Amino acid sequence: MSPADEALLIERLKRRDERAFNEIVRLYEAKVFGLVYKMLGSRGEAEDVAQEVFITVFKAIDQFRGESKFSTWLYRIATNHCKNRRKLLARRMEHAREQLDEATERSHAAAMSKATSTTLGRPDEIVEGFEAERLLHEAIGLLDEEQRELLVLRDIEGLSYQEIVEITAQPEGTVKSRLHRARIAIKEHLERAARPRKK
Amino acid sequence: MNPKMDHDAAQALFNDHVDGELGAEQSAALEAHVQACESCREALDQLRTTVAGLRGLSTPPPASDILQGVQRKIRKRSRGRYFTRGFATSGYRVPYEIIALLMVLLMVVVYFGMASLQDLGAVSGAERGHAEDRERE
Repeated sequence: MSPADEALLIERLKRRDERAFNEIVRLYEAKVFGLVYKMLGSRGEAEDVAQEVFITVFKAIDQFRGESKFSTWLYRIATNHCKNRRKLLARRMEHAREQLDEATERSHAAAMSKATSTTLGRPDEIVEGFEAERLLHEAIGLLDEEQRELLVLRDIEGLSYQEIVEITAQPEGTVKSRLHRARIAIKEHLERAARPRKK
Repeated sequence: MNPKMDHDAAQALFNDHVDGELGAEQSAALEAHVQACESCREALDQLRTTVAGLRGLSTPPPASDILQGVQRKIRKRSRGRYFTRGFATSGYRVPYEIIALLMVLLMVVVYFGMASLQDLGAVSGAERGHAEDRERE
């Protein structure tokens, strides 16, 4: 879609034209869902959050002034929703964890550790196939909020640094250094997972 | 070109190199170092593999239709103002302000209509009274 067509679509949406809104959802739903899924790591949560992102677009379209690309504005909404959802999930998890018996928790952790250490391969071998995907998702989930956001936007969604700066409101140098740390953390996670089989 | 690039200087450039953001001169210097340094070569290869793996991550399709879910939620939260079934989905909607203005105009018309009917009734009543008076006289 050309920028002029998109501008027209947004003008129609500002007049609350439901057909224009439907077109925008169809145009961006895959991208938004993909971004949100990688930020949250859960399909069910990603579906719900992706819907909330478009509802925010419908409600707040008057605030879009066209100073950035529409997709950049949309991604900013999506990343903010993801952050809020993760906070909510973290609170729920914390609450659930408090209710867990400590012994059960220890045995579960031991079982998880054993399962992980016996099923992995070398980093350069495992970055192909389902196991690599699972491991990468796991590693992304272990990053802190800001690192995860940058990694998803840059390495998975392929956005430019300029777009990421606009979405996150962080200086480019900060974006690059945090992204570097995030990549190193992912690489180290893969290396740790590969170690048992190397022996 | 700097053939004596050390490990730290080389590794500081890895990220930009993987992103394709290094100038030709720095890129060549880094490649020269990496060719000669096994540990840097291995580290750069692993970083490339990691980033390639991230870029190749797939996304499962959503289990439900996102558009339908969005429409349902907006319809519910707006109490049926948007995305109601039938003609309202045609994309055109009369703003509430216009509806309110039309209602006021209708009330004014009805008010004046009733007032003029009452006036007519009063006039005809008076005329009838005058006619009766004349008949008595």
